[in-house]
Amino acid sequence: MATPSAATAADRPARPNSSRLSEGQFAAVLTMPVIVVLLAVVAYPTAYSLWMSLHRIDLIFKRTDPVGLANYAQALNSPDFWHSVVITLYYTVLVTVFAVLIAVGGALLLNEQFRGRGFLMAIVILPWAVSLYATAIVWKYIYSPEWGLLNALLLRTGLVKDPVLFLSEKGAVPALAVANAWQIAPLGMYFVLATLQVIPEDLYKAAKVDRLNAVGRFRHVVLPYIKTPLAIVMVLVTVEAARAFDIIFFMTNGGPGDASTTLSWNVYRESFVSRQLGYGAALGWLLVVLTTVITTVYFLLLFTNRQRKQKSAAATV
Amino acid sequence: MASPVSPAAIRLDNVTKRFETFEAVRGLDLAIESGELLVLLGSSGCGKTTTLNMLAGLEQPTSGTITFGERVVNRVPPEERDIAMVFQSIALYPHLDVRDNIGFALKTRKVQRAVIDQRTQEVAGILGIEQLLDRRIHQLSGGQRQRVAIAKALVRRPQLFLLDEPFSSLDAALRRQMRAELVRIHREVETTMVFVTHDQEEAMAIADRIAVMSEGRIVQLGHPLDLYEAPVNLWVAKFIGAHPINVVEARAAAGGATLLADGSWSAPVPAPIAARLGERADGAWVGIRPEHVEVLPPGDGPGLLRAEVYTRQILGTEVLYELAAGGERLRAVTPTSHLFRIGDPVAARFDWGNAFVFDRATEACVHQPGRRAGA
Amino acid sequence: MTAGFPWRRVLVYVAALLLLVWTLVPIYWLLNMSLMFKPELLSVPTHLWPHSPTISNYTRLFGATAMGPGGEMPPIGQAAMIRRGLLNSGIVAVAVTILTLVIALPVAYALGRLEFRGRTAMLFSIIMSRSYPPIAIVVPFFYLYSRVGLQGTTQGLVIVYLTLTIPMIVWVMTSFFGSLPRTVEAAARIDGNTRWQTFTRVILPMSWPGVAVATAISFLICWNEFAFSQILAAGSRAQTFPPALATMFFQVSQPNEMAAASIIAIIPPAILAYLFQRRIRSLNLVDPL
Repeated sequence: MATPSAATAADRPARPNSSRLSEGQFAAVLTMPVIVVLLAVVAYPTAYSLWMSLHRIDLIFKRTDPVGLANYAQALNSPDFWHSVVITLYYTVLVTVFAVLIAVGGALLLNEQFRGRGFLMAIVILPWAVSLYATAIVWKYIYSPEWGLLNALLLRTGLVKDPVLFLSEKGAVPALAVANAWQIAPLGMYFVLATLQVIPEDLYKAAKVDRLNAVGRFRHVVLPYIKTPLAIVMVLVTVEAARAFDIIFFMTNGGPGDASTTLSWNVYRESFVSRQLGYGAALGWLLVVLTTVITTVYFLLLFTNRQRKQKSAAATV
Repeated sequence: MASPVSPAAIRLDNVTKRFETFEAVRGLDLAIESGELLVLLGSSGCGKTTTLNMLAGLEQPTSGTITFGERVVNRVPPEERDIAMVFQSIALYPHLDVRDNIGFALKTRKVQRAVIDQRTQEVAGILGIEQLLDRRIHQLSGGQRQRVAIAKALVRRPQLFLLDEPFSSLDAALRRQMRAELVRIHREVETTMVFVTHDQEEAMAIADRIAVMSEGRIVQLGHPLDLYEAPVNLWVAKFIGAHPINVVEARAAAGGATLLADGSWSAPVPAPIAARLGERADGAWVGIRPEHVEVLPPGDGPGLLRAEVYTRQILGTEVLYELAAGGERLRAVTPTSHLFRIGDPVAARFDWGNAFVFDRATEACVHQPGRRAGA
Repeated sequence: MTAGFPWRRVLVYVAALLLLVWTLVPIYWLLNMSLMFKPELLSVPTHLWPHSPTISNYTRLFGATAMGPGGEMPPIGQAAMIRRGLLNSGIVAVAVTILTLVIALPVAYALGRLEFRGRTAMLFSIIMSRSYPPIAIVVPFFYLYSRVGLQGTTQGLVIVYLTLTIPMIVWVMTSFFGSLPRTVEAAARIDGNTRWQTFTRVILPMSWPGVAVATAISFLICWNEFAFSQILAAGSRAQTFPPALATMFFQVSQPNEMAAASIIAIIPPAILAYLFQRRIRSLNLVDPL
């Protein structure tokens, strides 16, 4: 066994290869393509859209006139804009509340032991796989006054005499929000479930020994664990809801009237229906600002909460 | 260090490795002899793993040179060094079966299929894993995985064999068995091996030589028994040995020495120890291993210390006592012939022929027991 | 717990049933509609299951004729457009997925396993590029494409889809690579691989489960995308399936035919989600850090 080694790589003269690079240089080579691609397809259009938002763009006569901040001023002075911001916030809050309730409820349920749990766990992801546009079609037919499931049930049970118009001026936003929550909740459910499953079994036992009831166990055992993941889910859902487009396109087209015209629908309408690309770009940036504000507020809440906790933890030591 | 008959296979000369602001290895000099099993021993953060990684080529020294034979290898990447390595976390490829894992490195080096098969069979024989060759990695037990990892390293017939705490994730019994097998395999293949561990028992069990490391430096290099019988300083004395060594304050006194911090015990001591103590006005540390402390029924006499049994652990053939005396605790390991209970008054006696003396300021060993012949 | 009526168990099963109903019934309703002839669909109140089920809505979508209650029915009017859309969706999804893997896997490997300056900043900016609302990014693309002639082209769609898939796949695979055992690189290097070979010969083969999920996710993103295709390619030869469906949806009101087409839209992602649900659960798509 102690014969000279057959693998004589060490004696070969060094040739240039990836091992001549340091770890940092090698990483630079690997990350180069993505930097180039993201510069081209994200950074460049982003910068371009900023430029567009400072111009009035006429697609027919192919003219662009610099207008400074006029597009932004126009938006901020427009009741339509503020209406769409309010609708966006309303819609976003509803989607977040519905989705979080479904996600936490579903996760708590799937954390229990029962027959058919594995099957249910596999099935609940289905709405997430159904795209948002297909979700819109699905729910359009749930709500439909002519052939909708809800009206079929309501009429059959005699609860109503005439079909209910769910996508009415008052009902449109909540109805859209339910559909959106149906689609997005499963992801949050999986995420919360994953966290629930790392809670040590002993903690539940300790809580039972301490005679905590189900509510107490949720408050003192479960909630501390899922707080952070829950906040992350909320950020994700909020941002997704704030940019909802497919659902509105298929279900209400922003209506009736402008009852469900969110800011993102406003961007679409101004850019591609009214063909005001400069104004649309400016609205797009205001949408970016809005989503950024929402996420920042969440992170601040989360962060200060965590700090307070650390302080109180330090005080008890 | 290198003896003329076995020339140094690998040398580290004044090797330093700095990470950002942290110096992991500081001016290390080490000559590894051809065919020896050298253990790098130290607690975590002592630089032993960094040293191993530099031998492997996974890290490059900040300064100094590493030489394999005649060749300086500082900047040679690992795949061009003729080395094999076994990891603590058993780095086997989960997508390959045992046979392909063992042959992987040879395949990468474009060795012929027939040669790979023949050598795989050979090392599988050495490690007794022939019947596992077609299994998947996740079907193996911890011990089997580590055997496969060693086989994978052996099959290369490398110039240097590196082992990074390979047995630390195994249970105690299996760990002992794997150590014994490693020593046997080493005898069989005669490859130079460098083995990193934080476990002094493991180091003592397998090493030809041990390099004890601390804070990026080698504190002592030598045969396992050398470290046990002649530690260069208090730190090594504390680090080596199954049970921690007792360390008590001592001062020269008429007819011997006063011992313990409060000077509550006086005992006659051999002349060389008395002399070392006499040279030091504020005294010195006396170190004595628990194996060399006798526990007797209570009584008075020259050199006897009144004490009380504080804790007791029966280890099987021996008993480990912790004795309370003069505000201090002393450990003693004695045969089970006479058992004392916790709280019993006893008398303790040091076997002064096996005591060490350490300087208080430098902690260097200034007296050690006479060397046993043939160590 | 005191013996007696097992309230808790009953509660769990009731909740499980509710969750099942909530999840499946909307899709069931679509299926129900897709298996009816138009007259049955129009009965008031609508039947809760098809009393005379038919698959004619599906066969007619693929260009066949069928016998209905009112005699022979021709293929669905938009059938050709729908089929063309399906084909385009497939082409775009495959092209985007291949490009995404080629570009994203190396960078995800670097981000997940290598130490280098700017690593955190890069991870952060790649993830942040996801937070840009698609409806906002499509505005500049619309204008740029109208000027360089990429409007209504497959290439144009492929390019915009990369803005969705690359950050997502980098995100998912960075956490996947990061979860591999710490010593893999060291072992691979000592086994004789260069840095690049370590990635291609050891890391990638080891990571096939992660790569499979990444492929599925990338495919799902493309298949399910509507806004970009609607705005940049609606009505063109490159139009993918969803805008084709939208055209059908708003042109004529044949909900049973529309339901059949929608079921077809749902099938591929449903299959992928079912196959990969275990991995999706362990992958943590929400928060890779």
